[in-house]
Amino acid sequence: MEGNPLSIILVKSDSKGDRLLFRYPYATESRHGETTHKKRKSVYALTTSDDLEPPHQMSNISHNQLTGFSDEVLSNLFAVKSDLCENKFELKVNDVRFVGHPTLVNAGSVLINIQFALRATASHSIVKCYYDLSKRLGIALRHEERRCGYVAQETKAMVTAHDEAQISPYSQILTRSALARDLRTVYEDLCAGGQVHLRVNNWIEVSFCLPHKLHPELDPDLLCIQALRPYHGLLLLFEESEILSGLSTDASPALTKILKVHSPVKSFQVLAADADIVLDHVYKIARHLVYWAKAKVIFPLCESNVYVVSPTAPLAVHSLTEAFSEKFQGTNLLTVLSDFSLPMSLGHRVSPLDNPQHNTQFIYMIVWMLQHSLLLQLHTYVHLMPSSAKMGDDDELLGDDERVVHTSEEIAMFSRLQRHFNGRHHFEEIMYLENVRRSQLLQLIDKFRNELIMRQTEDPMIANFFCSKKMQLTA
Amino acid sequence: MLSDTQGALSPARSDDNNPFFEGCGREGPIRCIFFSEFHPTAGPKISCQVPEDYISKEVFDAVSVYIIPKQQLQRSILTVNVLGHKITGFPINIPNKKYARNAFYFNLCFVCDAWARTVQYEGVVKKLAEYLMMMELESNFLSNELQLAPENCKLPSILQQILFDLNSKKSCTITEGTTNMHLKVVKVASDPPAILDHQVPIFTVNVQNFTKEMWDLTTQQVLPFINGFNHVAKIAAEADVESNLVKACVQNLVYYGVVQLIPIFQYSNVYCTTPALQKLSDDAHSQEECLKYVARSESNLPALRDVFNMYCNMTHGTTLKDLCLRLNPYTLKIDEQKLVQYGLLQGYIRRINKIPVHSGNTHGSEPPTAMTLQQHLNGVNSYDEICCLSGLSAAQLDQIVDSDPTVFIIWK
Repeated sequence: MEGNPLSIILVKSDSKGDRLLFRYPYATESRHGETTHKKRKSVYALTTSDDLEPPHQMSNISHNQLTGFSDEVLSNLFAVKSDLCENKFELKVNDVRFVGHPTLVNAGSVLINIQFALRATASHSIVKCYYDLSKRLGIALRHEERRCGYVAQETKAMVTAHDEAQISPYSQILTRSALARDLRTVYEDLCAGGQVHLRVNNWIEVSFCLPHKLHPELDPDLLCIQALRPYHGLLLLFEESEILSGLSTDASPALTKILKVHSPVKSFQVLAADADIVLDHVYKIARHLVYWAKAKVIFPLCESNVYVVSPTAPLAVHSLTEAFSEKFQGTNLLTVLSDFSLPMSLGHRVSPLDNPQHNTQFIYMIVWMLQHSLLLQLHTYVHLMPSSAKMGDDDELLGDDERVVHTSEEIAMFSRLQRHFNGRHHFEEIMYLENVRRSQLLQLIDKFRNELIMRQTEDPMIANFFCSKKMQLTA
Repeated sequence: MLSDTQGALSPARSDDNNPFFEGCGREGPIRCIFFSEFHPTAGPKISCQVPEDYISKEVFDAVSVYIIPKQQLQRSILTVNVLGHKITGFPINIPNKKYARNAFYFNLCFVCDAWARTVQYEGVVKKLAEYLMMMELESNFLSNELQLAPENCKLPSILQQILFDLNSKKSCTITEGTTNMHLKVVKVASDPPAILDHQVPIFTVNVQNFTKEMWDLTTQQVLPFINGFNHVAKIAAEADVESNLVKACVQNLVYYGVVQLIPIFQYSNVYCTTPALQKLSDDAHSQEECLKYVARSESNLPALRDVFNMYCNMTHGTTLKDLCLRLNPYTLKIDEQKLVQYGLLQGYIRRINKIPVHSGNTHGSEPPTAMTLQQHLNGVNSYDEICCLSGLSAAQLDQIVDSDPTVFIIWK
């Protein structure tokens, strides 16, 4: 995975000189060892013995780990000059990019630099996230140094281990230094799930998430500017209790309130009213939940919603089908999903005559499939496009080949709604904006069907949650 | 300077309207080229830079450890992005007793703005460093230069020419003594995905616009069969070229952006519209282009409403055949094959694939034919792929799949 760190490195520089205190993972290299894998790329490659050029090391990555950097070199690179402190530091060596925020602690007398080694191909937004994490860890360390001399104490423990060690000091360091163990946790959590919840020195909380890892299907740059509308709603990806228990003690009470009243059939507007919180604040909390991969934005579940199999639905994942059968006893995911090969509205399946228990289970299945990005909701958009013969003839625009006579109310309503018939607003939005009922809208559209074209497609604002943009374009 | 680089040449600022923010992913011009060496007494220093004083002494001192690095990092491509400058170099040392410190350390660096993407210059920087090293080895070019009076130096004018030529024409040829240097900035793109048998390559540029001779012999043999309808396996058969070679050629063409891949055209295909179709409703230029492309004859263009209506009627469950029977594109002056091609190229529509998935529950009554097919019914392969892999026709596959209750059909 492109976003995984290759290594985490801690360097200090003070009056006693610079030193690499800790690096993780460390096992692949002995302390002074320098791995020089010379690979002959082709059997036809020239291997002249009088080649003047020393081998050019093109790659510093082997088996997903950093290679080819001795401790001394790293220490020399990251004990940066004072001009570069408290700023973004980015260095690329061959195919590895280092990023971090060199931080001054103890009134500027000590430099602490936590660097992340990443693949050079990692996108800029990933690099930025790691920079941010380095900066936050640095700030936490500076605070703890000021409060209780934490950095000095940890540095001392690590330096002593370095001085005593005969071969590799790092396993010793892990037993002696809490900071080293924290850095190991950071590395391991980033590789495992992309989320870090840490208390530096058991005191300062550092929470971080790498959205690229949590939502591989989303374009992270779009994540925060998703245009939320009052008629959109939230779909939680975990049980409410699970999210609540994961919150830190000083979490916003508004967040708890919203989770308490939440339901996938409620729109943001309803949530705001039920939780007694202003809509803008509900949006903020929704974005927060989305960023931390706790929720997706949906159109609230209702009978008229039309769903179809998402173009990027993962059908080859056996764990999914098994999880589904386990949750909904006696059902098969593929059977349910194949019903959605053609767009189907919920109302079509949920009938009042049916067993209510059956209906409830079906709704839970829909929620489950939406959570796992198996379904995509389709919306209907309306385009006003009069037949070409009538083009430019305004008087006859509202006329009709079939000589349908429109009542004056119909014409009045048409001219009121006409501005939405440009393909930018789906039915649900028009209903929301103009406060009309679906039946009224359908009736009107039917009356003017010769001038209008319907287009059924996903809502681009929220479709990213259910099908990846990249895969969509590759047909 | 070329007009399209004009915007990029204004200094970057961090206001909101500026498109050149860090991470914008755009390539930027080279702002400065400097030559630095490890001076036996003064340490790392810039000996020559164009334009002069672009990198101040303070900035250089802060980054000198990345310009003239430790032995272990020599001959690595190093890029440091600090203090608003992005500096790329390829440090070199030439060990020899004749030098004051028993070695000559130098690095020729390109400086760009912090926001710019610079990976395309890495190859040039490395090549240039190696040329300079050779000239030093052969004729002591660099050490002589560094001892000359500034007015006699050739290096500044060479660097000036490289800076100007690379920024304006992306390539540069330098002649110095008997050495000729050819430098070219090459676009770096990620590798295109592997090409599959059932995919259809289609030109995205006018075929007449590129000279056949520019391409390798195999590509030349393959080019005439790329028409937007032949799939890769068919091209291999018709061009009498091995299928893997055809795939490599097509992949190469995709890399250079002259070819795009679309699904095979069949009347049994199902398509649906994407949100991108909105563009056809909004943009007059797109409408004009579309009508010309999909028309049966150039002199008699179809009506926009009819074209748009045909696209909008492409929905789940409607095959192209159904659509043609219902709307009769012939009378609407629309060529349905081109309509589909254009829709796919523009991303207005996408193919809905028919995917047979084996549920994994094996019954005793399972027909043995499905056993051999089972490995393909994994939820990844579409009908097209399975037909290509197994040599079955779609109708034969239908028959097998229909008779097996453990296989589900999913359209997506």
